[in-house]
Amino acid sequence: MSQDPDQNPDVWTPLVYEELRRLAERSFRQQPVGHTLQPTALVHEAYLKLAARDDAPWDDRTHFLAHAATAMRHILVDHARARATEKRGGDRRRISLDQELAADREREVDVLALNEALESLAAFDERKARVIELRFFAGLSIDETATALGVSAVTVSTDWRFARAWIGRALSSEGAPTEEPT
Amino acid sequence: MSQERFERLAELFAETCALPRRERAAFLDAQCGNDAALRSELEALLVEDERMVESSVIYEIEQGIADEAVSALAVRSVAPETIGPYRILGRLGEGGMGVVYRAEQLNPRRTIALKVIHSGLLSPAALRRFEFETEVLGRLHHPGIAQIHEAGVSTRADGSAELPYFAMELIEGRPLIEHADAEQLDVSERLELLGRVCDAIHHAHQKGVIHRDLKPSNILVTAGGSRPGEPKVLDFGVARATESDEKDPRTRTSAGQLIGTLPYMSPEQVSGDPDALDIRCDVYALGVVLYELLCGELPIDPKDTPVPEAARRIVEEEPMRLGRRSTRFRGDIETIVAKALEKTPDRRYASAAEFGADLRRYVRNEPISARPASRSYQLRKFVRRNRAFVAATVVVILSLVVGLVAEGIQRRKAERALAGSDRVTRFLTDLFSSASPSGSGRNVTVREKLAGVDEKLREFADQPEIESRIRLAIGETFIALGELQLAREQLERSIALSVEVHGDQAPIALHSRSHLASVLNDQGEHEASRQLADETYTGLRTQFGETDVRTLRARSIRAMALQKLGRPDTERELETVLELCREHVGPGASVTLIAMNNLAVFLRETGRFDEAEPILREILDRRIATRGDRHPDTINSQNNVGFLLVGRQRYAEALPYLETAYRLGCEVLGETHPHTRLYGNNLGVVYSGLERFAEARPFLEASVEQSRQDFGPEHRMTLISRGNLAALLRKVGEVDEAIARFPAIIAGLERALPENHPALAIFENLFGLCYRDGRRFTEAEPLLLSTFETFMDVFGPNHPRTRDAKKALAQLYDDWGKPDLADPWREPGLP
Repeated sequence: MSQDPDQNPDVWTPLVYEELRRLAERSFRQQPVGHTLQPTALVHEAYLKLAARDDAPWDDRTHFLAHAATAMRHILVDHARARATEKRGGDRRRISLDQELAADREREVDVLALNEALESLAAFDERKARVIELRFFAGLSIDETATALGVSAVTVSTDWRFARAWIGRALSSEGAPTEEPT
Repeated sequence: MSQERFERLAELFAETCALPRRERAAFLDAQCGNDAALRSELEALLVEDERMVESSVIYEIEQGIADEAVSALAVRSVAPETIGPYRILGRLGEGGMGVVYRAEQLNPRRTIALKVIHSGLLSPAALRRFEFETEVLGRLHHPGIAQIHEAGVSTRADGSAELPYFAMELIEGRPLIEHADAEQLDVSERLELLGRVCDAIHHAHQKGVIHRDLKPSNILVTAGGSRPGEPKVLDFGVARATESDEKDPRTRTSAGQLIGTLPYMSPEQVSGDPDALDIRCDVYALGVVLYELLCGELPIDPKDTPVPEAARRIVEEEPMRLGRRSTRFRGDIETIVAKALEKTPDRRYASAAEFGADLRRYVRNEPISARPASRSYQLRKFVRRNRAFVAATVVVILSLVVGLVAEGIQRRKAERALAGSDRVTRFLTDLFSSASPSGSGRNVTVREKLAGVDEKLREFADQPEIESRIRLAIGETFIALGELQLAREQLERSIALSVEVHGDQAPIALHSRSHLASVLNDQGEHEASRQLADETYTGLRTQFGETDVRTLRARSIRAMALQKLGRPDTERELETVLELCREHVGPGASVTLIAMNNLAVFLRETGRFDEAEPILREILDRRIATRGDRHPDTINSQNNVGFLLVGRQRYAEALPYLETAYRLGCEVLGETHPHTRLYGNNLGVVYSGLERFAEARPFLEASVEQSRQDFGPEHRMTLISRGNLAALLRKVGEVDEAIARFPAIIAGLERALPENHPALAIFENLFGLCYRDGRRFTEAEPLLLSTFETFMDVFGPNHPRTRDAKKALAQLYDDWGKPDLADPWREPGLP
């Protein structure tokens, strides 16, 4: 699913992951009142920190962001799976630590459902899924996405419009429409 | 779905999207042919596309992902094997501040909860404080507090950083509210439970520890073990121990954590210096918890609000009174909760123990210590709640004053007047700006400022015309606040001063008189109002002409007084005023809408509901469109439409209008505003009409009491309220009590209402029904007969009231054992 199959994601994902975490912790301490931590801002900042590395497996910012989007998606999916596992544990013991962080959030996104929808889309059209990934998980603009994928902005726009409708349908209904009625 | 089919779908989707909407259906027809499945797929995607374009779905998803990322990045995904002397058994939970593990302690051997704080959250100075504070926490021993066994700082497994942790008693239980709901605890049991939480909190307070982060998820109720149902407070002092160096408590938490905590934070916590906090911030949080425990809602819910806005609401906004969430909380419970939730710590319970004691007094039916807020305090709260409204009033007043100063004074005095207008503006600006909650004089209110105005006005002792204008402005402010008597005093002095200086016909004197006439009318002095309005109207007409807006306004007030006096020439006059307003001021102008309203009120009071209804609805629509939902005039219009429907006995239709009027009245004008009370009364009538007597009764009782205080026992408002209450008593079976009350009410109404006013007949009819229900048929008969005649005259034969009166007669004779007399009164077609 990566645009550069010669790169093993396992090499750079932890690196990006660690950098994101470090930046996130610092942001928690320095965040002014009422500002939500913006992961996409973190991703961009992580690039600035990591770009200087000689062994970096990326050539420029857009190229890095394309990696970071995948890293971010992995992080979120892993996190959501871990949490789902905990919930399934059925443990009645509760400790207060801000469970409402997850429970009270109105705009909660089901990351696992989103991931499934992306996978179902990628099975048909990998580029369309990748457009979603770049835009959602790394905050790339249409133009940046076009550069990262090496296609025109018009193509990205067309992909984006279809992909988001596909994703929206998958998230708002019981699942992605994968079965053809006979 | 095949690959080929997917590609076809994507291709058609893109092509359809490129078409104008109206051409899409034909295109789909042509392309999909008989393939209904393809078409439905496409349509589903197009619906989704519309949703994406028109709403913020994409933004929501992006923000949701951002939230997830915050949560994911803040958590270490791999649990270490040991932390300090503890062996980690598993993870219990996670949050913005850290992770909680289930862990095993070897000596003594026990299972504990280990809360590990993100090291990134702590500076070296904060770490030192953490160690100090945790010593204090170890000294807390109370069955209602989760024991902290130990706190320490370890190094991470890789030795990279210090990792502070708490080892705590592991509680097997459910969060407070979840427990209460699952066990279906009743109100007393819930109060009792919270009383025990208060005990625990009080214990900690006595040891000098403030919790600062109380919320239902921090209070677990034990499920099993030796003492089930025991509340246990968690995380005592954790907020303090882990506090960062920053003064502002908001900076130390992540946005996500703050949102979970914010509703329970006291005003001084969200706005103030953490060092200034005392135990009363916990009292406030307990109040929020109780509120939520009782009604399931937060007093101020920051949902969907950005954090700074939510913080502002906590500081400024009065929560909806508990009694308005549910009538069963009216009275003492509401008072107790309100006292815990006071914005100013000094007005709250001084300790958790006092709070708990009042809860127990209530449960034992003893008198509670808390007192409902005084009327003047409620007015203060009103001003704080309605800063925008008051500010708007002030702006109007300022422009008015300046305008009058410029217009009213002769040319040779122009220079002096200009200087004067500057002073007036400054005077009023000073007067009101200090009432702003964001200013330093937070507790100095408009009311207090205005009360001290006489003293300040000495500054203008040499300029009576200026003083006159200021008093007019203040009078208008009091009108907006519903303080009619205070308004009247200011207006009377304003008139006296301007007459003294400029003579009887000075524009300012006329203007003040016109307001005074309106106040007199609202106070029930209709004849005095009519005379004054008449003089004003004549004076203004001479100076400005028949069609000037000022002249029309005065004439409109006069017409209103005529109508209240029941003068025969009222209708024509009302119509004339309305036509002139429409033609010369405009169909949507405020004065025109008032004239329409006066006409509609007249039509309603003479039983011509069909004519009144469209007029009232038009006014409401126009006001919503031009002034918004929350303008006092709009709210009044909601009431007027609702009240009209009440007159037509269409209670179910009336209900939403009156509920809206009452709710917004409480929010915008305050519960004690005379208009709000009127809306409450009307709402009570609707509840009665819908046979929701339990909901109706408190409104009607309050309404009687308030009218009595405001207008006196013999005022028509008071009498009508008493009549409504008596009617309710009949409905709930207290017929004898109703019979005892009605004669005085009806005698009073005969004096207070103009002749032939339908309200009189309506109450006489109800009186007759009481007699009938009490089987006092000889007394019931004449009342039911005469009121039927009146209804025939006023409402006509097909009006529901007339038909009900007819049915009432039929039933009277049936009950009486005279079925032959009943026959002529039966509805045709009915047995």
